[in-house]
Amino acid sequence: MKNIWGKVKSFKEFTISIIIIFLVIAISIKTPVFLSSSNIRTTAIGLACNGIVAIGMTIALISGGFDLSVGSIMGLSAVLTVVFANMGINVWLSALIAIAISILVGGITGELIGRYGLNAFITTLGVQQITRGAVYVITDGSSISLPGGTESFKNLGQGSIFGIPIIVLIFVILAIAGDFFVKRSSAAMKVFYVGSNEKAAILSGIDTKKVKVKVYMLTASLAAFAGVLSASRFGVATSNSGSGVEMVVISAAVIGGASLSGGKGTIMGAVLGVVMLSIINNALVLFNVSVNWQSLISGMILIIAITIDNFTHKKAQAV
Amino acid sequence: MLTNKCILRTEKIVKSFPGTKALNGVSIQLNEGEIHAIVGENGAGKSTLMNIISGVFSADSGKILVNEKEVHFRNTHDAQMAGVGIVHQELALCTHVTVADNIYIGRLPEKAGIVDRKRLYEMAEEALRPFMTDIKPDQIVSDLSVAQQQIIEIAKVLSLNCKVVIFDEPTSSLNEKEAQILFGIIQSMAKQGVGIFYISHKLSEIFFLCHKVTVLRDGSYITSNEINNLDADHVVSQMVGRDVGKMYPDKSELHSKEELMKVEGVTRTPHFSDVSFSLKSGEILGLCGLVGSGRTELARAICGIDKKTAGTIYIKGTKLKKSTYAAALSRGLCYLSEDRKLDGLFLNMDVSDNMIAPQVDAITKRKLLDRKRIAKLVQKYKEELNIIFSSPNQEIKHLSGGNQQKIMIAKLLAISPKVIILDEPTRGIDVGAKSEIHRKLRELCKQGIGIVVISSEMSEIVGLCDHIVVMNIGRVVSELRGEEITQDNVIGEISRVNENRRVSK
Repeated sequence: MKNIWGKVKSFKEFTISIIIIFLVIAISIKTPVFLSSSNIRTTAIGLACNGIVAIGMTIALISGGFDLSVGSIMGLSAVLTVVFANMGINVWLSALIAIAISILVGGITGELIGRYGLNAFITTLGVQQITRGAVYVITDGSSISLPGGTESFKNLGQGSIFGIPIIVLIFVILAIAGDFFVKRSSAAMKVFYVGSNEKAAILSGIDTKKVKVKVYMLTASLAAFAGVLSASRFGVATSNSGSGVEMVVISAAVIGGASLSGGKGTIMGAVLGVVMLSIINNALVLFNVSVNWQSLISGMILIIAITIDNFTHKKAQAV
Repeated sequence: MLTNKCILRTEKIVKSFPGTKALNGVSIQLNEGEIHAIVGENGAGKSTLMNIISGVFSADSGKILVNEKEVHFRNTHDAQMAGVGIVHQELALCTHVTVADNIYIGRLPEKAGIVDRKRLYEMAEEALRPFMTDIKPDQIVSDLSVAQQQIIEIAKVLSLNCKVVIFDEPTSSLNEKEAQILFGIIQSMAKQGVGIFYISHKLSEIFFLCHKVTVLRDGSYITSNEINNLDADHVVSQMVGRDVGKMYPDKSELHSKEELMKVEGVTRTPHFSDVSFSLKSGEILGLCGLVGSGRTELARAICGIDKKTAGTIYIKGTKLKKSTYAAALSRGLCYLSEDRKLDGLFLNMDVSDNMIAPQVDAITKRKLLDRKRIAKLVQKYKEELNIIFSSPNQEIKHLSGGNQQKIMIAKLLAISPKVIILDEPTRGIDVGAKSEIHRKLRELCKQGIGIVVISSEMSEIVGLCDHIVVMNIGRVVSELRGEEITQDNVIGEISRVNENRRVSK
């Protein structure tokens, strides 16, 4: 029995799971509506896109970098999908082209960071601005709707299978696959090596530049996919689709145990981080707290989470 | 002015670090005007002792007395206030600000709360004068060479007007002319009554400069003697503390003609040029030379980690076509880093992750890590190299230096190498692990794996190697084999070249 408890405690996402359970109980006592199926459904749909972006972000954090451009790329792919569809191109093909262009952007980011050694913060900040700028230019600052005849595509973001929203299913499948990939694959192991000690990785014969390029292509492709899903969900793409997502997902990943200094992080942790932030936002809405408070509270949660992490870490090192 | 007045002494200093006892009751004494060498092998406790005397660490027990009064230093500032300063081996300068700011850091002259730049530069000018250098007080430190930065580090400590100054390998990045100037400065300080502790690997410097030599070994005080009563051999045998010959495995009796690796005309300007040598099967080749002779740079260039400007490498007769480390690894040529923490290990990862790093693509089944094979591999090397850890999932940073070093070696052995270049394979690890590693290297050599060892430790080079290549300022100056390999000969080869250089100037 002790053994099982030990295993449960050593489970990396133990703390955050406990906090989520505690939150769920506390909030549902206050407002029973919280556990109503329609509220759960809305919350789950709302967090799916962020969750998918968080998978990529966690891998970028593990590599010792991060990617501030994901929100803009999400916007870019949403807008491109809608624009291409309005040009008469098949909407599914439009989505594929939009994702391909986004991956290209990610590849350029990766080349700049990986091959030329530019700082990840500055580079992705620049790419964020450029991409967002491109979105403004393309949309002229307005919203564009999907044309008629795209119902099957809209079903992706709006429909359900066996009562479960498709968009949530996709997110869950990607999260499980991503978690497995990060824990078991040799490709992900290389990302850990690069993030843990890049110089030692080079001396182990690992092509660290290539690893980094791939990481930024991956963050871009997941962000782009989330953008496509959001276009499908809303049937419309606006010039500020996806803005601010990067901060939410970085917070979520860090709350879930990823480290900004690299070499650490799990997909499950990041996903739970996204869930936790969404639950809190949802509770604020249910409690009729002004939406203006949300950012303030999310920021405080992030600071508390990393402070706790820092202390438990120091304790672990002292032993 | 050398007197018999004691200005600093320690009584039974004890200091432990997790896993090792660094100092075991060390008592030493420094007199006014004395230049006192502290010698010992790596890990003997020299730097730890000096760090305690200068307030960097605090001792677990024991006393420090300055002018016969007991002192307790909480930090280096306390020590400086009591007149004890240290010039560290590693540079610790703020590289983005000026020379003067660095020398007077923490005590800048002020006028109404604003730094008095004019006065500051005058003071810095004054502090730099004895060095006869062309460094300007308003230069930015990052624009200076490593040697110039070392001078600033020294000037900074000297400007504190300490009564006791500790030099930890001060000449490791200075050229000969700069070193001579430093010796002059140290001698004039001593004449003014300053007591000096001097740590150096270079025995020639010690015999030139110092009055007294204290030997430490494995954290214990061994002996102190006037320099006039000593010769180099004697000091070395006291440092090593045993018959060097027995410490090391028997040398090779094989005289194979099979060439494992040939290095031809390898050059990387400005570090070294036109280096050629050949590694035969069954021999351990030692690359030796002072720090800065280009050994590490050479090893890295041979393996393709750094680019070489010219030259060719052959592994078992076939040329290495691409100069990348991945290409070298795929041909079985690998490099063991001299710095475990900097680029050797993944400190926050576990034992098995560290061990499989060079073959992370190979140890897979359908692109996924093959956990069974990994477990087997870890178990195999745990037994073979006698590595002590509690579980393959133990974080490597909690292991001792010796076990970490063995894991680094295991990681290379796991890829079935043909030639391994080991840079300082036993730096900072205890004597037991050291001899285990030496025996393992000899065993590998017998199995036909080419072993190249780089070491600053003379006794290691002499005791372990069958073939020695001596380097100096980036060139191969001589090769020694078999009977020719003696401590005297190797030291002779290094110093002979120095003399030649002096003459040629």
